[in-house]
Amino acid sequence: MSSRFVIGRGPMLDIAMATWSAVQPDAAPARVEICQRADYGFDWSALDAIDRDAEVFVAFDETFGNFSRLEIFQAAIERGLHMPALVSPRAMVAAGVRLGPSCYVGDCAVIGAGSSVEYNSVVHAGALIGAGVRIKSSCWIGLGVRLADHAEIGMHCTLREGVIVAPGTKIGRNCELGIAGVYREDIAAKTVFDPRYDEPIVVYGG
Amino acid sequence: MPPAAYRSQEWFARERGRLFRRVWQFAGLKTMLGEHNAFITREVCGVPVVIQNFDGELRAFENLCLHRGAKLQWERAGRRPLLCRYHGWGYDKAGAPANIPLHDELYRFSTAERAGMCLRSFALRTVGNLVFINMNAEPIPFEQQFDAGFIASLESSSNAYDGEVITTTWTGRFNWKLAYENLRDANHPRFVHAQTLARSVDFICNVDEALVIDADAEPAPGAGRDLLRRFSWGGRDAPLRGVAPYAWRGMVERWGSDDAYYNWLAFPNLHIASGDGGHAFTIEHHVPLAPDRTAIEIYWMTAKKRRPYPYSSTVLLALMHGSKLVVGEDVRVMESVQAGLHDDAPQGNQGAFEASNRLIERWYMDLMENGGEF
Ligand code: FES
Ligand SMILES: [Fe+2]
Repeated sequence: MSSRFVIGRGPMLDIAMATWSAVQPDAAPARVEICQRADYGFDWSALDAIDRDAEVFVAFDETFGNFSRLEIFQAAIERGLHMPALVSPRAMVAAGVRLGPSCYVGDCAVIGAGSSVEYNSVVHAGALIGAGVRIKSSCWIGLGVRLADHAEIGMHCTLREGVIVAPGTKIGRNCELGIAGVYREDIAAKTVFDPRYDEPIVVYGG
Repeated sequence: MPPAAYRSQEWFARERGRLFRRVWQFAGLKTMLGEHNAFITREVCGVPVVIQNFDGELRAFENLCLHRGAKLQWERAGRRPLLCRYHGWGYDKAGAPANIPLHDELYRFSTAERAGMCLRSFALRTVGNLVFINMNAEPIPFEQQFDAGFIASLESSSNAYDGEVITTTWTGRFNWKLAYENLRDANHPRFVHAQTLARSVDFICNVDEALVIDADAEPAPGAGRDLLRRFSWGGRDAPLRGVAPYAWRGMVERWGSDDAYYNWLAFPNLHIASGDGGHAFTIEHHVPLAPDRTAIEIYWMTAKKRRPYPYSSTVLLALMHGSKLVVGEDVRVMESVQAGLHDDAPQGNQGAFEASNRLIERWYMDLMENGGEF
């Protein structure tokens, strides 16, 4: 009986399976699909069937501001499961970089000295993360995204392909940078740049 | 209406003077103006306007400094005294430049000169959480534009709004009137929104017999003033085929308990809806920019939260994406109508179910061609 599981859905599940196989070619993890009902609630039976103390990796996309992935992450914690970071052997991560539980670093991603990636965050293949960069929890850093030195990405941010964040720039929490280009100014929390819209989507109050 | 009503620059300017500068227009949300010095800015009839909270009192001013015309507030919304960034003039709630730094050394205005300086102000009226302004020096009574039942319904429902608001603006290539016509046409959803909205709501498209008679009748002299109130209505519109039990819906103080689609149409250019029985509300404000261009300002808020929850802004974003889909379908149709217009384009043939649009059209054409009755 395997004690390693990759749990999730869709392309991220395939990506994480491949990465884990590259990390440990002799011990393939079990692949567990998780089902979401029509009201977006999860069916936890697959998670309940896993023995305590097993190692799991949550492989789920950025749906719903990365909150869906967080929900699975929290359910796994509650069940006493272990969730180490999953780092591709082809990534280049500087010594001393802090990687939180269940975060992911893909092929050819580079993370510079003094940076940190908090729990449940995903750094996709080819991302270039400079030195002293802080990526808070439950972020989604898309393929090839570039974060210059000392950039700060608040929790639950989604940065899509083609995004470059200039040195020292702070992106508030719950932002989505979906339009390719260089972001040079600090961005207020809950701001969304979506290419289907004519102007940024902003949230006031709350 | 004649093609010029949708295309002509001259018509657009006349319409601005005869209609928009005289009616009460939606200007923003009180929830965004809750604290001392909170402000919102916007452009109304081409005039930059700031609405600012002075110790709990809301005031609407032209957003231009009396010194050399710099904008007083720059952001779309924020919290800051009414203070010019250029040379630091500060304004009080009467719109007077109460503080002119280095006045005696550098400006030396006489007392009379200073007393004559005052920002242009505009009448302001709040209904629940909705803020309206009127650009006219002698505004019509609010109750002439909207009837008491409609005002009460707006007040009650908007008081349910939560303070967390998501908003954006997109630009449609169509005349604003196509939007009010489209919104008063309950026969379009089954065609335009067949794959989206019409799947969850059965919009009821009826012929209002009394309205048909009125729309076809020769108007009595002086009846125009009372007509205006009939262009706006709201409340329960259509039954819903259930409300999905998303977790967030359990975390807000729902307005009412009816599984209904609510619609409020406020003439000329405001639409409010709750598509999920009072759990969330959207405001669509169609702001005329040019004869063939309209800003569509969209707001979403849930009903008041019982307590904060971490993903509330993500719920609002999902609701906004729903609008992008459904309003996007309307925009595509309206843009196609606009694109087809030319000077000699045929005028439409509206049926019995479109009596309310014909009634508005008659009043509007009288306003535009003869000066109308206000
Ligand atoms: S322009 Fe405003 S203070 Fe000079
Ligand atoms: Fe529509």
